[in-house]
Amino acid sequence: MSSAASVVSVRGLSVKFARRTVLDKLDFELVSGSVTALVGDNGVGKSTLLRVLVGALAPDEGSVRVLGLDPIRDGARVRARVGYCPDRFEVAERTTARDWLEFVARFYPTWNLAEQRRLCELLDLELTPRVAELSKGARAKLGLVAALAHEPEFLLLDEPFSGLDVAARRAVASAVIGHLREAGRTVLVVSHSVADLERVADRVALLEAGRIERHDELESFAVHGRRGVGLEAALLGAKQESCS
Amino acid sequence: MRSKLDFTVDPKGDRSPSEQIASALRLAIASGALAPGERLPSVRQLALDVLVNPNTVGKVWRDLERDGVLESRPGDGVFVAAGAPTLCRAACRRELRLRLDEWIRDARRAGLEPDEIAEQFLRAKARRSSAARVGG
Repeated sequence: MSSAASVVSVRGLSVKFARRTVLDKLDFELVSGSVTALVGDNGVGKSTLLRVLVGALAPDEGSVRVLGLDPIRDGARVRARVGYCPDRFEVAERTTARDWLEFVARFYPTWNLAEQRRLCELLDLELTPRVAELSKGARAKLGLVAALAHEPEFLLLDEPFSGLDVAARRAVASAVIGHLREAGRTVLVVSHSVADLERVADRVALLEAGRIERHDELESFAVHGRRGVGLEAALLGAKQESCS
Repeated sequence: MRSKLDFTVDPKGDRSPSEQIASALRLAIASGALAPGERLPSVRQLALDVLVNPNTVGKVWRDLERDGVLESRPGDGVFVAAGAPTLCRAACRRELRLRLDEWIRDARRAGLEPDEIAEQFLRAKARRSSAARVGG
């Protein structure tokens, strides 16, 4: 694999909170053009890894390269080419959704207003209400539009399906798959929603005890499952193996 | 084109999304809905239609090309191969046989005797043919 096609290259990454080591000498590579599901138990450090990749959190040890750049030193350059939708985000509650997007857009030279409109239509998202009036689902969709409208090369999504109804989950999947219309776009998605991951992902990375325990094609995870197919079975199988 | 490949992928189903796509495509070819020489939708288009990762669809296309069901003409697209209907009919029969074996196994586990299983089968067949007559 050439380093040019490498979207993420992490070596020996450690992150400690107080005295707890969350990520422990973690190695991780992401190649261009894939949608990788980052899975693992609650509290294992999935969101922490995402925050390191977007430069929101400095590592204690190790080297991190995103699109060939250091997300801390070259923070602005990395963030201009990256879309990030955290699982929770702070928004001024009294602004309207439209004003908030206008505010976000100023940080991105490549913000595409036509793409913003297309996404809002696809996700069935009204921009006139104030943020405080948005339902949990509408808020999640707003975060997704903010992460996608500048058409990033690398998209990071933290629990994009959480708390959404079936129609909204399909709309989110459609937005992610539609984003892949340009070759080479890369997505890293954290979720516990196995069925949605089986739709959108083609690779799976399993985070366990501070490291990437396994990183492979989705199909090969399925084959290793106890029932023969299904990511859920594979993950449960992996758990039982590591427990016994 | 889209109506000929009219199917959905159920990620909660027993089979992986790629198996579901391959199976739906083989069925469309076996039934004659898709004829040899017909062009398939692009990988990205089908991925959006059935909401599955484009790389997953691409993998199905490559697997079916290797099996001789599809043929790609560089710069032009992917087409149903000349020998595809025969191959797909055989594959569909195999798949149906496997599903029937599975059904019979479940029926045996549920305590049905071989005679009862045969009766169930004949009844289902009668129901289908009367439904087909009513439905036209």
